Amino acid sequence: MPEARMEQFASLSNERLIELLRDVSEKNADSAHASHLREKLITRNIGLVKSIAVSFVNSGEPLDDLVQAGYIGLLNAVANFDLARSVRFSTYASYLIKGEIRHYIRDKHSTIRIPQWVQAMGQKLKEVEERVFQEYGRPPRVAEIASHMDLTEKQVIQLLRGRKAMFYVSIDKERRGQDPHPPAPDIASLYGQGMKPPSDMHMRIAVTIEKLAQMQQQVIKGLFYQGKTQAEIGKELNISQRQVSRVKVEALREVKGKVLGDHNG
Amino acid sequence: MNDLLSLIGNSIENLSQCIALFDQAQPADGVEKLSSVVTEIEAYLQEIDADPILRLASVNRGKIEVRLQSIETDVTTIISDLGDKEHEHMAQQA
Repeated sequence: MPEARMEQFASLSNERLIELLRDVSEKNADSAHASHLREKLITRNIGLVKSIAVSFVNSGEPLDDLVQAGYIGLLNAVANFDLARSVRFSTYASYLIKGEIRHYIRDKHSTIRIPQWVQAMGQKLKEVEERVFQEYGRPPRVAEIASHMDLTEKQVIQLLRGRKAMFYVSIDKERRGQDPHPPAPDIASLYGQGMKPPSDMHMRIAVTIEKLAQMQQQVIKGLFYQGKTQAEIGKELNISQRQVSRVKVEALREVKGKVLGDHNG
Repeated sequence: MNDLLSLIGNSIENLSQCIALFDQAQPADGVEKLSSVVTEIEAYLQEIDADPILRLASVNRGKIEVRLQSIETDVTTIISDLGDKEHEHMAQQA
């Protein structure tokens, strides 16, 4: 693929790429262009494959092999994605990637062997969850589990993901047997019968919030404490000092509003 | 046009609301909040060049893109895993 064209697509989001692909398909023209867009869609979602593959690492299979299996799922998602589909591409792709990885693990083991240490850690994790729930009436936080189990928070997250991945391998067998490329679920209609999402979802969302908060801190630090004057920044960006000042005030107001609540902002 | 700080602020707010909705047994609304985080990140990435905050803060744009895509991946897998849970529930009921 020509480098200039690849660069042109470099920062496009999944949905924009899908939009462009839809345009090309509707006009039924320039198949080379469609190939470039598909290629970019694959490149753009390699991180998704790796992230999902890591959650299956406790299967005992090498990570590289799991990633390879996941790539097949991603390729299938790109090839089979219905452009008129209302579901997001990333949701559909993650569905097929997981399906391929589970399929791969099942093929390697007629019976899934869960390593002894994983079982032991899983049992300990369950005990901590029950203890905290009895004491506080809520699921434990990642930091609490880490403290009780003498692990780092990162290790706890890996443990939670590993437990989940092993559990679902058997469930997926029946589903995949009926349809190798099942459609993604209708997320909006989930849990319509009063079913509550599991407690580890809370923790995973909380971890994402922490990641965002860290990024927020770094951006603010870069904005206010990098030692440059407003005049210097203005000169670099070819805008007036007044404009620099205004953007900073707006940014600060925004941050204050989010941190303290709009009534204080 | 959303700037990076607004995007982060909105995302934190949506994710916090999602947890609250899950606690209130309104998971479908919670999933909507998760989806809106993905949608906003996608929209921001499309217009990232125009973000004045990013230019003023002199932060590495490439790194910001990678980190946002990683967060998008995290949220997407949470949504997808919720779908798995639903299948598990249906399989148990069948």
